[in-house]
Amino acid sequence: MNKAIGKTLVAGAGLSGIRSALDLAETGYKVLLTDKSDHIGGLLCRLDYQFPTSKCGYCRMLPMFDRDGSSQHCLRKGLFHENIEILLSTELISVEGKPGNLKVTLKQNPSLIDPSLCTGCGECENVCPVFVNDPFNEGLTKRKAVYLPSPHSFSNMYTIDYTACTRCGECEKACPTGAIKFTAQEREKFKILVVDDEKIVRDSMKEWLKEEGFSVTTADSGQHALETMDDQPFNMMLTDIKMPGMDGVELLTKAKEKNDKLTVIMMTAYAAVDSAVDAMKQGALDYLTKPFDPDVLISMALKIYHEFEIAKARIEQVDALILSGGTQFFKPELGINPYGYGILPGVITGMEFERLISGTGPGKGKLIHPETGRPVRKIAWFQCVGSRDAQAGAEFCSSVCCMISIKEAILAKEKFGHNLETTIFYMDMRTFGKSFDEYRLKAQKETDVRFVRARIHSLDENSGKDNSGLSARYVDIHGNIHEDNFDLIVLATGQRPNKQMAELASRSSVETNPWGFVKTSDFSMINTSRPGIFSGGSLSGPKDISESVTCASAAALGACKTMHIAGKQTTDAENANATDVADLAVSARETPKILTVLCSCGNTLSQKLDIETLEAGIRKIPENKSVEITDKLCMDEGWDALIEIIQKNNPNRLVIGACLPIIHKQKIKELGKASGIHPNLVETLDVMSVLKQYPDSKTGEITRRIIRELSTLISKARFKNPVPEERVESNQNALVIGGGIAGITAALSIADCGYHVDIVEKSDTIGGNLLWMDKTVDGLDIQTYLGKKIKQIESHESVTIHKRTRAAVAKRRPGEFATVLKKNDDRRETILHGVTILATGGSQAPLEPDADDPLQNELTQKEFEIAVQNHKIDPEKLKTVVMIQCSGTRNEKRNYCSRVCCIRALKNALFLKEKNPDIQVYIIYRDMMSYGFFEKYYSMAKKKGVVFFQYDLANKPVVEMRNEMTLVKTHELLLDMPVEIEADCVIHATGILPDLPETLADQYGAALDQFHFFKEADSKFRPVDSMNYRVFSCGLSLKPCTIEEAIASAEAAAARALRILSHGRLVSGKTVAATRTATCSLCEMCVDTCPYEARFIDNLEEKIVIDPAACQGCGVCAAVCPSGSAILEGQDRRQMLDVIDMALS
Amino acid sequence: MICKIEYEDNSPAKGLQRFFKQLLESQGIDALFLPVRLKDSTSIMPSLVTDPAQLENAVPLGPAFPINSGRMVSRLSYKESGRKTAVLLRPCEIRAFIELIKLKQGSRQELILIGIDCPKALTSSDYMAYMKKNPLDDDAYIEKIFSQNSNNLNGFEFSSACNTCENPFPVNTDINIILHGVDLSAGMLVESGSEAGRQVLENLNMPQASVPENRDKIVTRIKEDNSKANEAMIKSIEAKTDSILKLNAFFAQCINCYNCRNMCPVCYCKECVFNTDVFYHQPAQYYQWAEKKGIEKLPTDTVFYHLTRMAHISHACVGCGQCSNACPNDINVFELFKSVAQNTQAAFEYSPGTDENQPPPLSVFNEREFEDIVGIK
Repeated sequence: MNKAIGKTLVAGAGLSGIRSALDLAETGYKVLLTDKSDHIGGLLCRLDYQFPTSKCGYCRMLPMFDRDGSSQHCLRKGLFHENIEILLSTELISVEGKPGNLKVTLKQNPSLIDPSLCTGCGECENVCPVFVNDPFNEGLTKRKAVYLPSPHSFSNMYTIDYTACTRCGECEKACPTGAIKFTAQEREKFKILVVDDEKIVRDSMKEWLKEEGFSVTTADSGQHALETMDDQPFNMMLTDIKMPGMDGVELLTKAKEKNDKLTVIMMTAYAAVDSAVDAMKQGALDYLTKPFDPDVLISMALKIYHEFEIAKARIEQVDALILSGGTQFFKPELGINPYGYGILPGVITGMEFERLISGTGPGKGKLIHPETGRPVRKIAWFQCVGSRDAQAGAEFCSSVCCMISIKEAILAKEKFGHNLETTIFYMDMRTFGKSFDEYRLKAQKETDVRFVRARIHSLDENSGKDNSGLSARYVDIHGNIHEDNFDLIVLATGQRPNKQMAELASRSSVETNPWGFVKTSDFSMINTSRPGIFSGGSLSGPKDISESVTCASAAALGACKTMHIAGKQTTDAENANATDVADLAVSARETPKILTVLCSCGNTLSQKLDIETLEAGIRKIPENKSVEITDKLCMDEGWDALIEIIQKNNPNRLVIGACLPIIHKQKIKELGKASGIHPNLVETLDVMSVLKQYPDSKTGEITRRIIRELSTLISKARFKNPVPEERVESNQNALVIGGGIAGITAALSIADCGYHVDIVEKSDTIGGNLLWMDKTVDGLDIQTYLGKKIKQIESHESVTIHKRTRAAVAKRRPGEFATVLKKNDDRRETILHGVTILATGGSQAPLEPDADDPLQNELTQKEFEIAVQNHKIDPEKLKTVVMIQCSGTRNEKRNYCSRVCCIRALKNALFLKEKNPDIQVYIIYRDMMSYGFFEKYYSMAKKKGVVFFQYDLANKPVVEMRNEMTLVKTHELLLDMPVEIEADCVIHATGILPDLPETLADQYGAALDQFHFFKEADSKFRPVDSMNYRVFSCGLSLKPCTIEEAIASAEAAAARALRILSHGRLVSGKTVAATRTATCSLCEMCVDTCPYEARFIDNLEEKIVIDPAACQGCGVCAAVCPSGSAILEGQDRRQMLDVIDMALS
Repeated sequence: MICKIEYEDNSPAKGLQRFFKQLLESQGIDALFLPVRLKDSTSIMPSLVTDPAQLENAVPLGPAFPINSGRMVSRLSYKESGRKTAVLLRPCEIRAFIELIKLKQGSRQELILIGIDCPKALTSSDYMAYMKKNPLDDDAYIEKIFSQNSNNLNGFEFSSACNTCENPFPVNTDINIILHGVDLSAGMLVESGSEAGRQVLENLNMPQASVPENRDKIVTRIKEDNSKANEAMIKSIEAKTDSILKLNAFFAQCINCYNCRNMCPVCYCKECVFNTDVFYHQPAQYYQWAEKKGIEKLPTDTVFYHLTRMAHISHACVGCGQCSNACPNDINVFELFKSVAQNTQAAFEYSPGTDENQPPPLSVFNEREFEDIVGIK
């Protein structure tokens, strides 16, 4: 029996939605990816640059194997994957049912523009008379009511803003391909009943509405109207109020009895607003006052029609649901202190700044003052606008703003010159993520960004003569008042939950937290209160890119598990027999016979080009057998004509010159099926874009240019060899190294989806760091949770636990690893596996006393917790406790923030205060890293009387012994004076050390960063992957993290691993590396340089072998190989030389 | 460890032969690889010697340099042979071999690398002419080079590669034979450069010695002189080849024989791409080129070939000059190559053959590199 294929709805197609969708699609499940907006990509579409590279890396999320099953271009341009159906302008309305059987209702805005016909020519935009603020540029620019959803969009397809559109119809007239259809046939199905006793009114209304394409019936009385309604159903009724016999209000009541969905509009001859309002109380939607302008009537009818279209909800059956709604920005104008936003010129939000400097923003990449247009010399960033602010309803930290502001400041300097002055005003610089602190230091030291710890108290327009727009006054930490002038003030506005998603959540009985973010269950960052529904990305709280992506992958894992448990299968079974290798082999052997076809696009081509010269120019090229010019390739008739032309000429390779929609990958696939020419043997040119690019070229010049472009494509086609995609047998078992919570979670996650896992732990017990922990800061019981997990994994039939064991030696080969496991007693066992998850963990750094500074009542946070658990320390007997933060980190030796220490300090401080309210607790810190919702514990600690002293690196706190007393000396920054505290005990935050041996990582083709944590393939977009696509990491070996974060990263690593494990054979992209063994000198340069670990030396056979699924077709191997033995299939050297020859002709 | 090679008959050449004989007879050395004068010929060719008696024809220090032996040693060592071989190489041969080791074309696992102060060389054609004109005997030659430091051999100039060599002293070896600065009438010195080399010397039971103080000065002076000569050469060749038109003219005599490639020690491909179908054009192709320009010289791809070679291996060029030596039409390929190689090596801060652990530039990825050239910042 054929089992059904699993399907998940991912609601929200931003960064995290795309990640979840792609993870699921690559694993082989079907995905319905919806987004409320008109483009995919979410917020990141509007951000051009990300830290730390000052570049974007969105494309790094694209599939790495079977690449031709999906698009391989910038995700802001769009996304295509065989397993993903994308629904834009679509909202999720409701969810019913159970995991494995969820009924979701979707509301989709109907499209007035046919995407298969729109060529993106822009004629509609030229004629559209409506201007509105462009939300893409945060309202800094205007756009028309018909517009391109995003400037990057690959398909360049226009869309219509329904709320702004006046339905004037100009665009419809202007559209050369008839893609815009206001009077769509669909409207005929919208039935309108006009009821009026005056014939002239009835007839003229009928005429106007019919002209718009609606079906109109008339009735001269209420009675007649009701009879007509018995004959056929109506969508809308327009009725006069004053009529002889039955009046309009009575008709309304009776009609509503017959059909309660009927939309009724009342008409009244004079301004009898009262009766109209009465009627509306009884269910009429609106009223019109006679005599009325036909335009008003039409506009009203169209709006109602649009609502009707929208209301045609789509109901889908899915197995699981991932909510990826993301967050929204706090609106500063709504705050108690709006910092003059919206009033003072030059006060903008961070998002506005991003758009301001964007190449697709108002300045087209130049930094000019948004209001005065003058150059900008001084910029200030104000942190925590709408964050860490109980008055703004946000007793939480938005987590991302510090890094965003640093990035923006660096970017401003890099792009607009180092003379630009940049200042960041902040409370704590929360650089708690991996490599964040390093970046901040770079900003400070290399880029010369000024950091000022202060909150601005007032802001004025500067009327002074130097024209520096704004004057800001602030008090520094020592209490001195300063005034400074700035041209631009950028407000780092905080994060707020996505409102619509929160509403949906409450409708779907998914719990939310006090601030409206989706609440996740204990120890989980993805499980909502409703089984089968997962939270991806930042929906459950503010997150940066890497955390969002991690949670998105973790959510995908949740969905995978749900689908597996529901007994659903993947598309692999379906595709098992689909290859056409034999057909391809034949066409590869044939002598090239090329047909070049050009679409004339009406008379555009003949107007701009010298067709005779063009044809003659192309005919001269050998192997190009014929040139044909045809028309309307975008229409069915033109398409049929093309197929006829192909059949008549019988070529074996094809070059097509047309516009974008035609040369789209899917369209070429379709053509392949109809004409028998393999899509790999079709080359395409977007002629229209070339013409658009050179609008002023003379005919001769542009003709020559087109000939040249076509010639290069013809030579490309001539040398094409349609070798089938390579396949590699792929092992379907996993190896997890490390038995801490990350390793356990990763192993269980994979095993729960039906794959065998070997988990290796070097010690006697699994559980890792959790074994010594009691409670989380949120008060969750860690031992109960850990006990449950250990029991689960120990009894899991698909997991083999190897305790007291290490992964001694590993060999890599295409499709699998062979790892020799070595027990403590030296027994060895070799296991074969397809993926490796490095979860080797880390530990709290030990206290390192100097020789001349022995420890004096000093211990680490971990030692303190254990001492309390063992009753060696009794909180009630302590009088004063001092905690020193950043004791072992954020210094020259370990220049990173360990992320968890501040939270641990707060937890222990609160614990001490709870056990002994009289105790004095001091926390001496540099920046309190109580990010996200942990902020509340910082506030709580302050309320409970914990004293916070701040220090900087120049004046580190010192612990001394005096008269048998332990003394902590520190230089308090606020008071700007030395402070001495007598302490019973001093607790140091020593930070986290990773425990990932370089030799271990190296043998799996993974790398370490400078601090010996696992080095991600991309710190933002591939946060748990290594460059070797079969190796992942999670937990402390990946980066410092909390328990929840370790679990989420483990789930993410499992989801990434499942993409590979779910396929017995992996398919390469069509551009894939190969080796010509006969000429290969075995210098291994290709092995050394391959960034994807796709090449291996087979010492037995003395040859280079390739994992084709790992190969990304980058061609580095072909570039370093001097003998041409490392080659790229589909990128022949002769082809290259020929193409260059043609391009130079 | 520094020892002295002594000789009673005041013949350094014979002294060296005896040293090598002793080496071959010592424990653990199965074969020697060094230049040997072929029977009934003036030719001196690198040879693999297993019979100590054959060493009477060995010419460790002579003006003949018909081939860069780095390439030959790669043939002896790219796989295990089960034999230990002591290999005598000129400094540029050692550098070439080290480059080949990095490219997995050889291994020093079963070798004892013996370096020697460079005895210089004539070009192959000059060597043949010189041999016909009352040549010096082997001892006289050693005297001329190492004691007189002469630049002229009976009217023959040494090859420009030797005159402009900035590294004529061995590095990366197990054993070095030291001549410059040494009083050759009293013997020459041999120095161990590695643990393996030290053990070999220990087995030979030679008297200990020390390096004379003035050697450093001489070494510096030779390097400086050669460096100056090099600068002048580069300046002159650059002026001759600084445009594509001049380059075409420079290679006008090239017949695509590929001898320069065949003799290049670091051109390591089993089969050169210029021997493959990539350059085996369709007949129509020649006509198309001709039609485009009105004329097409055959063979084609001449300058393309030389440029490709520069792209492939100029980073690894050790400046041995064998390319010029091999050219039948006297094109000074070496000078052009060295001028390009110098720039490539400076750009990548790469010094071929001097540091075994420095990876070839193309196998190293630096995220931020040549930002001004690639345009990515």
